[in-house]
Amino acid sequence: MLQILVQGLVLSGFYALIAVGFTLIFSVGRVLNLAYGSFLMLGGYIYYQGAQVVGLPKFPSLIIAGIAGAVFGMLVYRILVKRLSGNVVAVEIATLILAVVVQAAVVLVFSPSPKSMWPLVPGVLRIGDASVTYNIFIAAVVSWILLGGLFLFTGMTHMGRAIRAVSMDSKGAVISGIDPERVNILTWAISGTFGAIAGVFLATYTQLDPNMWVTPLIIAVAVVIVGGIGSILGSLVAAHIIGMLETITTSLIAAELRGVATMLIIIAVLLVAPKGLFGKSEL
Amino acid sequence: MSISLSIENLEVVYGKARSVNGISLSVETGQIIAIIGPVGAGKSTVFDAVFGLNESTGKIEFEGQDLRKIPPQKIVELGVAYAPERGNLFTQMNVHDNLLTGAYRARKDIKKNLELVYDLFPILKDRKTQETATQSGGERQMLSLGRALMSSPRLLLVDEPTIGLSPKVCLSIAEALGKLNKQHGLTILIAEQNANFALSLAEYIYLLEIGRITRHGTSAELLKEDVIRKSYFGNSNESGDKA
Repeated sequence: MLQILVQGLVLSGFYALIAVGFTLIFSVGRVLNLAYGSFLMLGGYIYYQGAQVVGLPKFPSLIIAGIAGAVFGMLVYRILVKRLSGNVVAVEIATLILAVVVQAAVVLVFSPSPKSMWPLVPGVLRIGDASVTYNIFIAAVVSWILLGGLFLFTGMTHMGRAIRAVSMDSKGAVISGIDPERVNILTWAISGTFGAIAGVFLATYTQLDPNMWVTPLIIAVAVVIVGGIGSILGSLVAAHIIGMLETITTSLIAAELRGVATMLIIIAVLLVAPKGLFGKSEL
Repeated sequence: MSISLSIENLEVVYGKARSVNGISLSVETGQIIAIIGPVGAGKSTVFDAVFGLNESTGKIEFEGQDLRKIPPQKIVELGVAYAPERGNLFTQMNVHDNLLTGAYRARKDIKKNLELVYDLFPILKDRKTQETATQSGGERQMLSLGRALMSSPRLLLVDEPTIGLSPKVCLSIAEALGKLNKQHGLTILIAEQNANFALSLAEYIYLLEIGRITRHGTSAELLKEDVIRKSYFGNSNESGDKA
């Protein structure tokens, strides 16, 4: 029981990071970034290149991956999303195509074969009878630090409040003097960073391969549908529901059913509460 | 007296319909001016045009500066604030954060402006931590004005400040606007369908109908005209605005 709880909690923290990076863009720009999985994949590969090929220390490699994620996020916004602004479907199609293009590029540059990653910190942490790898434990801790930082930033600073303002009422924001363009760029940068760092964790938790963008995108979409699209609080709660449910399914029923429970809960929420648990708008 | 806001030959076209059709008006510094007219006459469209929020042609100047050359988010920095119809408030933020957001471009004046707003509307101070979504219409209207005041404006545009509010709340809004004008020298341009409210505050009134200014004059002058008195000012104290 304790094992499920501990495992579920750390997994949920990590899922929350994946989901918040995704939902942030929706809540500010009202678009779904289907290239979000690529942010994770790119983060994973860049970390791998830094830490395991070039031989940089792990922590700086993680920072480099985060910065690269921010730059990639801003480029996607500037080059693609901004030009298609106003056309939600076009943005979804374009970002999905981008994800496929990035996958092809990764195959070309890094080869299609999966790569195994060293854990961030080797070893196993024991909490009572339960045990969890240091790797996923650290992923959860860093996730919570980043989410806490985001919470403080959006709650306490002028720029952070500006992000919330644009997400709630863009006309109200503009007449208050907020430049929506700056807010969008910043949001894409934060999303890119969260995605890339989550990608490093995902790659060390599973493995690095050119298809790895699909699973986190499904997790992100699932969390956002369950939590309510555009709701950060909803994403945090939903990440825990899905994280726990996955852990329970894999531990008590069968590991192969990991994704199935997630899919079932998406369908159930869409049928029962199409706006999600905390959402304001329908998908 | 110097000119605060000057609008000449403003036209706004939405699709094929021309919703504002060549209007001109001017507001002198220190005045309260009102634009009255029925729903759909184009009052909000004029205000949106001042902030560059729609496509318009014509001249719009604030204190001699051409506003058309300035991006919408920078206009508030020049000293023009806008309290739009129904507020456009940040409903999942609390009262205090809404006000702080209004100070985005006037951060040095936060303390002074907070004092002003909380002094003007003490109920906002009591409800500081309340989420805006759960507030009454009157409180939201006060917050909308408060947020605009947080930018240290010299000209305040107020769109339909009394819409859906009880006479008692209307009165306190009117008092607050009067106080801002008399004690703080704030220039105010109000758009209202509640002509009595406008009359109680404004020294000069423009009547806007179907995108055109059909009459303008001092309140006393407009009251002399039978048609206007009957269709806009009514005989009771309730909003006699139904055209």
